[in-house]
Amino acid sequence: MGLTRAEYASLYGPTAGDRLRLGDTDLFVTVEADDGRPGHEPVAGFGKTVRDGLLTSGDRPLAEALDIVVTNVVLMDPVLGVRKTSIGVRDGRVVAVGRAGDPDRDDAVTVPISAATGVVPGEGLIATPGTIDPHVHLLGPQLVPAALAGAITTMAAMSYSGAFDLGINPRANLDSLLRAWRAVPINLLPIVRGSTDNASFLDELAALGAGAYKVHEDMSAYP
Amino acid sequence: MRPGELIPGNGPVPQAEGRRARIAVTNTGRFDAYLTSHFPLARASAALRFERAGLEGARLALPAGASVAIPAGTTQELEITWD
Repeated sequence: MGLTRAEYASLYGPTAGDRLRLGDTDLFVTVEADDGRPGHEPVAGFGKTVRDGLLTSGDRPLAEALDIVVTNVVLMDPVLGVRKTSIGVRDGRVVAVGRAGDPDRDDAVTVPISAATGVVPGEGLIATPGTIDPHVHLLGPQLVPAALAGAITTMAAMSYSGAFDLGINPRANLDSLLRAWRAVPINLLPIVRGSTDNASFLDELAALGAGAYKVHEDMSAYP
Repeated sequence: MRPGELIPGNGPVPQAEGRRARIAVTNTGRFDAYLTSHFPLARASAALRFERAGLEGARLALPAGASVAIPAGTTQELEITWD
């Protein structure tokens, strides 16, 4: 028994040897490897295989359970290459990449799915590491959903509004920005204004949480 | 050109490559039954009548997540695998 490539992709996403067009560009990637076991793909839903006693382990300790598994996704990663795989997350971090399922049934499973694990179906999707935007002006809260939609997970950013501040400077502004950012699911490297020859001023800003200094040589660094 | 389109590789994708057999399953119950790809056959509903001896570790030879309907009162011949 076999499935045509098109049938397989419609059920479980592309597999090794398939090529994908990236968006509407003329760039293509080839799926180089598939970490799954053909015929035993973990799929969630009514009557599917992610189920206690099937491809889900029923007796792993809760403390070891992965929080989330992204299943059957095409991963594009500078180290792991372009591969069909599953991704395990615990405590907000990727802790496992490889075959998902029940390790008691298949020794090659490296991403165990337990009864406590949430499943994000990755079939037909591409996963990449989060990208860093090193030059963001914090002009409004609308930036965050736009950035996340574009796979940006870290911003190096300055300015707290339309103010012509060239950094996130006075203590009150930096404090309020960092407080507000706790509710936002994106990493922030706050850049502060470093256009000063007063070293103690820079030390104080670092202690307040500054991640980098911006020196505007063209407009504020010299008398 | 379709954004994100798939250019399939060569050949089919192999499935369930283990030992195969065919069994006849009769649904003696009053309701239609569905068997899914990975359900342990030996533990299927008692309303489904078939020879269960020797079926330890066997499953239906279907793509993962697929299922087959066995309407009430009917007998279906099904392919199984020990892959």
